[in-house]
Amino acid sequence: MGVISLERADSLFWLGRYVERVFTTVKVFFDYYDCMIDRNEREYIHFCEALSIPNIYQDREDFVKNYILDESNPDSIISNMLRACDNAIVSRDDISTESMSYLEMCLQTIRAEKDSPAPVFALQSVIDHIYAFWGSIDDCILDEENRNIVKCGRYVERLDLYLRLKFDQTLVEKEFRKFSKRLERVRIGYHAEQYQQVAAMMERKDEFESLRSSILNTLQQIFC
Amino acid sequence: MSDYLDLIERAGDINHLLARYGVKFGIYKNNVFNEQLFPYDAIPRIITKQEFDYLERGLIQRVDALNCFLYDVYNKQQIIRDGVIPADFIFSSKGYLPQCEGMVPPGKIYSHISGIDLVQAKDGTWYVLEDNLRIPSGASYPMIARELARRAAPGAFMKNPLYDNRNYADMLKECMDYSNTGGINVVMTPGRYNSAFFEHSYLAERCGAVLAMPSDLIVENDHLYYKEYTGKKVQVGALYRRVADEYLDPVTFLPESLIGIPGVMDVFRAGNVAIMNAPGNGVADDKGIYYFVPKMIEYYLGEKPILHNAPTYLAFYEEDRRYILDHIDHLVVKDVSEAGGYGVIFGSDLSAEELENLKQLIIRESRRFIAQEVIDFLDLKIMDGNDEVERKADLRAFVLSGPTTRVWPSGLTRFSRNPDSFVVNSSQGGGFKDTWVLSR
Repeated sequence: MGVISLERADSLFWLGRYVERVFTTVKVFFDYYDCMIDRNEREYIHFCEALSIPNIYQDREDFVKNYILDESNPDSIISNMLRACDNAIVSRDDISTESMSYLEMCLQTIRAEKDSPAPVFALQSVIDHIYAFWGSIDDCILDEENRNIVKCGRYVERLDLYLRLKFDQTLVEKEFRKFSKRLERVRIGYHAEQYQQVAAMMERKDEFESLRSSILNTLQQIFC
Repeated sequence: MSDYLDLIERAGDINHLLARYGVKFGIYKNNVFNEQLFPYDAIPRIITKQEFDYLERGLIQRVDALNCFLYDVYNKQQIIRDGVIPADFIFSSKGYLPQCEGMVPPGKIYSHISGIDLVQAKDGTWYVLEDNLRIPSGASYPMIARELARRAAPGAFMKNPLYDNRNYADMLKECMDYSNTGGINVVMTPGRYNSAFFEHSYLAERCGAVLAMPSDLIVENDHLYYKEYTGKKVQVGALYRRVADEYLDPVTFLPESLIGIPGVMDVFRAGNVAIMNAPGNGVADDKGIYYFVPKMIEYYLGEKPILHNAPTYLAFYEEDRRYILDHIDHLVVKDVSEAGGYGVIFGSDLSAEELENLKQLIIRESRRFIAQEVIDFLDLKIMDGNDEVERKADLRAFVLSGPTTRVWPSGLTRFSRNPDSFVVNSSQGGGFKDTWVLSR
């Protein structure tokens, strides 16, 4: 087709962001969950702080259940997946029914855990479906630029989370390279000056940790 | 006897696949939007080749006549001059749009996609219950159900000689290409929270059209354009709009519409875009005008109608009104301004007081109501858990008008899940079946 509107470009971009948000937060959630079992049952407080989301949870059990399943909590995994689906549904003709179906399966998988004593277990299937989703996106999106917009959203979200969650510098650098490659190939509007600033800060490798917050803040301004 | 046992055994898998592919419809209840799965029943409705040949001839005849009527009624109005349909009956129809007078769409096709609702009586006779010539929906459901059923229960499709119904999108594309005035094909949806959004997005994907929101489209210099995110504008040649006439263009129709495209009617008038279906079709699928369709067939085509209307009385005519008032307790009364199964009243369901109130309303607003004899539809088998039960069902046949008029060899069979109800609409809790047309 090769033509997409501003609204559609926005949906594709946010589709990438929300799918990635679910993916990375689920993976990090596994680590914190482990820690809550073995060491500190209130470790979720640090999780909320790291993600800058309000800690509205009573205790570990409340966190595990509601952070995964509560559709009325805008920060929950299911809420982020619902937003991913909303952006996917309006882009069906670009991303294909096939790709969309993997997100629909993520939703069904999470919802099926409503009364489960161990909803965390199902999150592995969510990760599997998301991997399949990205494979399908590579196969089914005919228009390269549209695919790059989705991937741009994916990598900007991943960078945002990696920076917040104190991921290792080499991983952040790797994702920044991926993001830059995608950004070069799309015509979406962004603030080039902010992008250049992030690139320049990323070059100052020895100062990375002290620049982490500045990189994050500037990254967030690229698409403002 | 067709063999569909595999399908029943794998019904759970098919429903699982339908959920996976997001086959849903939206419904507003207490101002809250909810999407729900459209309940699918695995037992297909089966139409023999001979029966389909008959239906096909009748449907093509009917839709051709309706297209002739729409051209006539917005141009020379010869059918009124010749006294076949009373003028005030047409001009008082809510579907008659004076703004469309003198407009001729490309190829003189007004109804590109017609959804004709039929029922089969217990004696086997088919009756047309309703013509839907504005934005009939529903073809996507049997289309995707067939695709998924073939995966889940291939045996049923190896054993039975069927017409493939997965060509609907190709037929639709052919119609769009035929009427296209130069530019891309667009499916325009009013938005994500429309009840038929699944269908809009699925059909756009399958027929290779661009799915557009109203805000993606703009009129400039008497042409319609799709706005790319880079600022580039791409001309639209065919607009399959899934928004009602009154919201289509706030400059011509309702000024408060936020889901229309300002100026699109001027583009249409100038012949620079095909709008599918054409604006103004509501006059031909008005429940009151329905009464006159057999007369239209004779008038325009010089042929005897092949398909029957359900026996219908117009409260507008004094003689019919008297009949309605005298027999109201066993008739079904329909408000011509309602759709989707709303405004359908079975006299037998009303108390004496309610009947009296309805009679007074019919006397006061006679143009608003028609009444029909209740047809005892043929019940179809459906699965209720593990039990086979019988329920009322109708058939929406899809007729597509492009280079020729063609009937899709399938259709949407809707059934009532309530054993005491004749109302099959999805918005009223009904389910659907695939419709098999045997090829030999």
